Amino acid sequence: MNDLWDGLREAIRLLLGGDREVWEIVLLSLRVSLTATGISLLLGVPIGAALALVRFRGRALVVGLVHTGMGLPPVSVGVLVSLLLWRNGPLGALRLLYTPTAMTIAQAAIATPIVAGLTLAAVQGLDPRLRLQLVSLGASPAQTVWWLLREARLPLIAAVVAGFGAVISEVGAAIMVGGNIKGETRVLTTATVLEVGRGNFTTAVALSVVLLLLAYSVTLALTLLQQRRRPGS
Amino acid sequence: MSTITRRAPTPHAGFVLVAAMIWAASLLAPVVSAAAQQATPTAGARDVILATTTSTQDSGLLDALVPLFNEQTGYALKPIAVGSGAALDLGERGEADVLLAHSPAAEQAFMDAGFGAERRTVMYNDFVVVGPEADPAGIADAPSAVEAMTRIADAEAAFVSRGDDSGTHQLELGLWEDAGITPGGGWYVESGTGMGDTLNIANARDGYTVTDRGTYLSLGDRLDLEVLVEGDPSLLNVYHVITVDPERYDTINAAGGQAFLDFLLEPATQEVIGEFGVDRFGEPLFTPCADNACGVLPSTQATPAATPAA
Amino acid sequence: MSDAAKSTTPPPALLLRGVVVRRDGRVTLDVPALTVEAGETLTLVGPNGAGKSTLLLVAALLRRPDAGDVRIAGSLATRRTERALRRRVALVWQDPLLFSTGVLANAASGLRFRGVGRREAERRAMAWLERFGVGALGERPARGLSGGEARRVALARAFAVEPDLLLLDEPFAALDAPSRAELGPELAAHLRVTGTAAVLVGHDPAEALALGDRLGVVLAGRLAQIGPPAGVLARPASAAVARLLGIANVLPGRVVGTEGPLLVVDLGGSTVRVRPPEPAAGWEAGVTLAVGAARVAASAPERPIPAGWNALAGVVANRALTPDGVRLTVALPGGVRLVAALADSPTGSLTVGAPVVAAFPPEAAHPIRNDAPRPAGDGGTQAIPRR
Repeated sequence: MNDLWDGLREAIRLLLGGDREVWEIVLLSLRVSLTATGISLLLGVPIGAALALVRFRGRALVVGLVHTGMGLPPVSVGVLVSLLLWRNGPLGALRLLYTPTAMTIAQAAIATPIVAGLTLAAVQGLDPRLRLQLVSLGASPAQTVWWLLREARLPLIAAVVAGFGAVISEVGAAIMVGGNIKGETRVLTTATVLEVGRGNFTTAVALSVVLLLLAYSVTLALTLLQQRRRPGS
Repeated sequence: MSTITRRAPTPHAGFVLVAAMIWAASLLAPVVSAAAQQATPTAGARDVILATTTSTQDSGLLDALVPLFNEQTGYALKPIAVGSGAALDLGERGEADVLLAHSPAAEQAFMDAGFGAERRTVMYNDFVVVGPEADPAGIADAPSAVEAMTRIADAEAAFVSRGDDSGTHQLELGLWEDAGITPGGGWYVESGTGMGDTLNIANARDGYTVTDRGTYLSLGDRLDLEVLVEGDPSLLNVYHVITVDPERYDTINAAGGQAFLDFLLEPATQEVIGEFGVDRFGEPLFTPCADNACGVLPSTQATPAATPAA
Repeated sequence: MSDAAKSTTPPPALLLRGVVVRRDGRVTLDVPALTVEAGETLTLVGPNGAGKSTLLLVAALLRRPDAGDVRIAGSLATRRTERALRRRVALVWQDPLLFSTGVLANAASGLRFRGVGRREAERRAMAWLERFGVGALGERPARGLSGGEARRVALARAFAVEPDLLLLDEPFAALDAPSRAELGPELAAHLRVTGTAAVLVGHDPAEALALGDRLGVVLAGRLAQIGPPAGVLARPASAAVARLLGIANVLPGRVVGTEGPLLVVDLGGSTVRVRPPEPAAGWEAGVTLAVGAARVAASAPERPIPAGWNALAGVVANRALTPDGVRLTVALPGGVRLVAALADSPTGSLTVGAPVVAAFPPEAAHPIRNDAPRPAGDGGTQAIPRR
């Protein structure tokens, strides 16, 4: 229990005391995970919307893939991205392995199926007649999709929360493609693993607390955004 | 309900999305500008990938050495901490430029296979066999590490192995081999994790384990485990630096790797290594030993595989 | 209005030709021909599942028929033209289906889809919100409105795009009676003022009768009858149409003879004389009489009956108060029951069980041949006009 209390105190000290290294780690975690979430939105929302709105051959197959992808273990993604980015791998010439960009790519790969799957569910959860109503009001296909997504924005924000939560908290892919390099690719989760390995449990607890606070504040911000729009009833 | 005039909030999902994109883009900006600034020595050749054992990172030694190296040479060293086995594997694949490992037999095989260009002794620390104070297998008065292992096996006392192909794991397996024992059974547990976790597991199970002294010291009071066997020559943990043979892959940063090798052997660096940990534990975690100058190694092991290039 | 429209001969707002819709291999809609003239309001009634809503979807170009042509304002709908044509049509659904934005944004959405600038779209939408009496709601979130408010916003949203053809699916469903009574005439007035053609689907005949220039009855995917509401009501083409229109007395009978222009019909023992719409000769035995409750008088046996009326003696089986008076059910010998709607009148003695005489003139009963080609189908004198 002492470790916990010490950890809490240490977390507060690290944050308020403006520990430069911790702040670097926090900012990098945010940068990587938010960017990955952003990319997963750009990819996952159109995929999910298309799967919800377009009937085509093999759709069930693709939906199954997306749903499987929602539970993709981060380490598996890490292995795949590593294989791609190794110097002598297909994308090795880009020299991306052990950079924040590699971590962003891996995390985007983790979050995209989550966002796509939840977007699919969100759009399918809408009254099917809304789509006909939009079309009958003269909306083009693009306008229809855009307005349907707007109608589904509450569950879509939940999708963003889920995607962000998945990547900010994952460690397997981050450590594999990032390498946990101090000052470059060390994020909250990999730093926590390192500190546990070093036996610095107080610091590990502190970093975990910071991670929790971070995840909580981003999630809270999104949730506030979500709830604010709910009509009073 | 209807008496309250609610204004329809103006920003909608589109606004949120756009805002999120802008935020993400602004976060990317430093990456781009940082990439643009990569000018020394030459873009692309600046990164040096070091594959190393977890103990160098866990002990904090790398955190002390890497900034020094980067500052002195202008390179950007990227240390990837993995087990010794994985480090050698990364070298074999050409995914690392330089290796820092402590798995002499595997290193020798690596050199013999022609994967490495140059291998030099850097430093050593020592392993210890730790266990519960009660010492159920009675190894504290064992004359050698091998005898201690035999007693543990005979007593079927709990033993926690790293089981991760790390240098420490290799050394432990060597001890079993020398004792003529194939460990197995309910008393022998493979943790599959790093040294710190393995020690914690041994502590929780009142078991024995083989650990490097540095990690053991850094865990400090947290452990109820005692050092029971130490000082045996077979428990020496010698670190070598190996540059990866650039002939095999044109992606190898040979100059960068060589620069790190040279850096580790410099007297100034050796001095840093010799003092590392004193402030925290009251004793150094590593003993500097460039090219076996300390004479710690038996002569057969000391010979560098390749002639050192001056 | 319709005269003025004819002088410039605009194309019909909606023209269906040979339209067939199948679902799971079953024909759910079969309309050989249907025309809605510019500015005309057509009301369609029919039981649930009869195909009214499918017809609306076809007219709104949201459901491509499996066969047949749809023309909107004279233009044939094809894959290429349907989106442009869709923008000349507006559909208001049974549910308001408002978007979860503000009321004004909802009302302006159709215009926005058509590329109208936000300010202009909102100005025009606001004008329609005001016309429907909900202008004050402009900034409110649409999902928090009452049913009546939401309905008005949905109508404003549809009118705002100034469609050539407005399609309304049960626009008054789930509204309380006062809102319904208010909104119906308002809607009719706006349709008239703007000269918008409309197809209004409902299952309440009273509503339909109040609104349409023409009335269509949809049964089992077919237009069973179409014509001016008064005509359809007076001369339903089949017993099913008569029942659907809410005609209280739809009585099976047997032709037993003729008396000049009149048919003599036996109603389970009671004999009545009725005036057929065509020469009395040639009627087969089986016939159904449709008699509106308001055309039936009921009085105590001692009161005089007008000459030439059918007088049927029975007892009062039921007596129900209505806002317009009293509704008496008269049990005749032979098990036939006759409903009479009486304006508030000296009926104090006509309590349940009391002897009574029900009476109606021969022209009040409309005889329907039972041997019509399709008893529940599209027979009848007012069947679909073919052009």
